[in-house]
Amino acid sequence: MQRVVIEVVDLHKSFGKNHVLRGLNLTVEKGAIQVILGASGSGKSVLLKHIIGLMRPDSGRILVDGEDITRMSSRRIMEVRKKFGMVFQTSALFDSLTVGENVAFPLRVADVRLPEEEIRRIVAEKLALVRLEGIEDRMPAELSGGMRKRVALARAVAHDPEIVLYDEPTTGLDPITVESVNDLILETRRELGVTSVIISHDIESALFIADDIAVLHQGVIIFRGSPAEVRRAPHPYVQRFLHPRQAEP
Amino acid sequence: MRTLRSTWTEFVASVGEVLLGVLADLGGMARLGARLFVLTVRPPHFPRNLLLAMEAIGFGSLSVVVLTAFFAGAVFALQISLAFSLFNAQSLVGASIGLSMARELAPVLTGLMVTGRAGSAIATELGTMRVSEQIDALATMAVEPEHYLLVPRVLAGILTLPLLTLVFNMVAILAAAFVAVNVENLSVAEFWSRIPKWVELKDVVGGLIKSSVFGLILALAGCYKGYNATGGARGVGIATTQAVVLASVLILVSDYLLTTLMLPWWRSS
Repeated sequence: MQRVVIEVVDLHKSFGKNHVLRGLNLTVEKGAIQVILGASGSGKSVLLKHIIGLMRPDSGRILVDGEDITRMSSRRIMEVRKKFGMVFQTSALFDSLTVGENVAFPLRVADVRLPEEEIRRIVAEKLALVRLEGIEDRMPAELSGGMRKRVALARAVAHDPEIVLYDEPTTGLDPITVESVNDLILETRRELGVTSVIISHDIESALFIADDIAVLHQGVIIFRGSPAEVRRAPHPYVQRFLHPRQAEP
Repeated sequence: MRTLRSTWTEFVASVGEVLLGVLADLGGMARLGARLFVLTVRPPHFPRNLLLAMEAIGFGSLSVVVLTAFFAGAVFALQISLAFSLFNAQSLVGASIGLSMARELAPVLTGLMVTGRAGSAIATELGTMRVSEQIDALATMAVEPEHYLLVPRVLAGILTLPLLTLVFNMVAILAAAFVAVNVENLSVAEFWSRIPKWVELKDVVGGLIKSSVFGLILALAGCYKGYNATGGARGVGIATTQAVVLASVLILVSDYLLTTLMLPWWRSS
C-alpha cells in the first residue's frame, strides 16, 4: 500500500440549513488517480475546495502529508498549497494574460525566482505536454473549450506539484476532447508521477482513468472501490449512475 | 386606514432594509480596508500591478477628467461673471472660480467622474474574475488574491486621484479664463490678478487631500463589491452598479465631513 497523502476525517460543512458534507471520510494514496463521483449538488466541489484550503469546514480534519490544514493560519495554508495544482471546471485562465503568461504564472510568483529563459523553457515544455506547442502568445479568449482546459492543465503542473486537483475536467466537452483530456490526465501521472484527485459525474471517464473511485451521495462516501468493483457494486445509487434510466420514447 | 397603515409599515421596513444594507456595506468596506492596510506593509509587493492599476485609473480617466474640467470651468465662468457683474465685482470672478475649484469642485467632480469610469471598471473586472473562478485560481497558486489584486488598485486610487485633480484644476481655470475673457469680456488682468491673493497653497493641498480620500473610497468600493460578486453576469452587473452608487454617495458625504474639518485650517491666516 502506498503512503496516504490526503486524509479527510469526519468532515462537516453547512451553508445555512443546507448540510452539504455530513461526516465525510476519504483517503488518497500517493501517485493514485482518485476519482470522486457524484451527482450535481452532491458537494463534490465543496470537498475539493476544502482539500486545498479555499473553504474551512464546520468540523472535521483534512490532513495533507500528515498536516491538518483546518487548524492552520491562512499564511501556512499558502505554503501547503504549493504542493497542489488545480484545474478548474471553467479553466479559470487569467483572461488579461497570454497563454504563456498564464502557464508561467505559478513560476513567477514562486519563492525561488527562476531566470526568464528557464521560465520560457518550462512553459514550452508544459505546453508540449498538453500538445499545444507554440501558442504562448495567444490570448485565452482565442482558444476553444478543450484547448483552454489543456492550458489550465499545463498551468496546474507548471511548478511540478505533488498533487493535481481536477474539478469536472470533462464537463461540457465533446467526446473526442473528453478522450484527449483523459489521455492527458493519465499521461501527466505517468510523466510527472503526481497524485490526482478528480471530481466528476462522468462515469465513463471515471471508469477509464481511475485507480480508485469514491461515490459521494448526500454528503458522505457511500461506496469505494476500483473501477471493476464499481461495475459490480450492488448499491442501487451506484447502479443508477452506471445505468441511468433511459428516456421514454 | 388599514391599507394606509400597511403601506406605511412597508415603507418603513424598506427604508430600514436600505439603511441596514448601507451599514453592512460600510462595515464590510471598513474591514476590507483594514485588511488591505495590513497587507500593504507586508511583503511581497507587486509594483508592476500598481503601475498597471495607476495607468488604468489615472491615464485611462484623463480624457474624461479633462473634458469635465473644461466644461465645468467654462460654465462656471458664465454663471459667476453674470452674477458678479450685478455687484460690479468682476475682478473677483477668477479668484472665486479658482477657490471653489481648488477646494470643492475639482476633487468632487474628479472623484465622481473617475468613479463612473474606473471604479465601475474595477468592480466589473474583479466581479468577472470572481464568477469565472480566476480569484480562486490565484489562491490555489499560493497568492493571496487580496494582496495581488486589491492592494495595488486601492493604492492606485489614493495616488492617482490627486494628480487627476491637479489636471482638473488647471484645465478648469484655463477654460474659465478663456470664457471670461472672450465671452464675458473681462480683461486678462481682471481675471488673473486676484487669484494669487485669494487662492493659497493650502486651498489646493486641502483639495488634493480630499481627492486622495475619494480615490480610496472609489477603489475600495469597487474592490469590495467586485471581489464579493456572486451569481454570474447578472451578479457582476449588480455589483458594478452598487459600487458606483456606494462610492458616489460616500464621496459626497465625506466631502461635507472633510470640508467641515478643513474649514478652520482654510480660514486661518
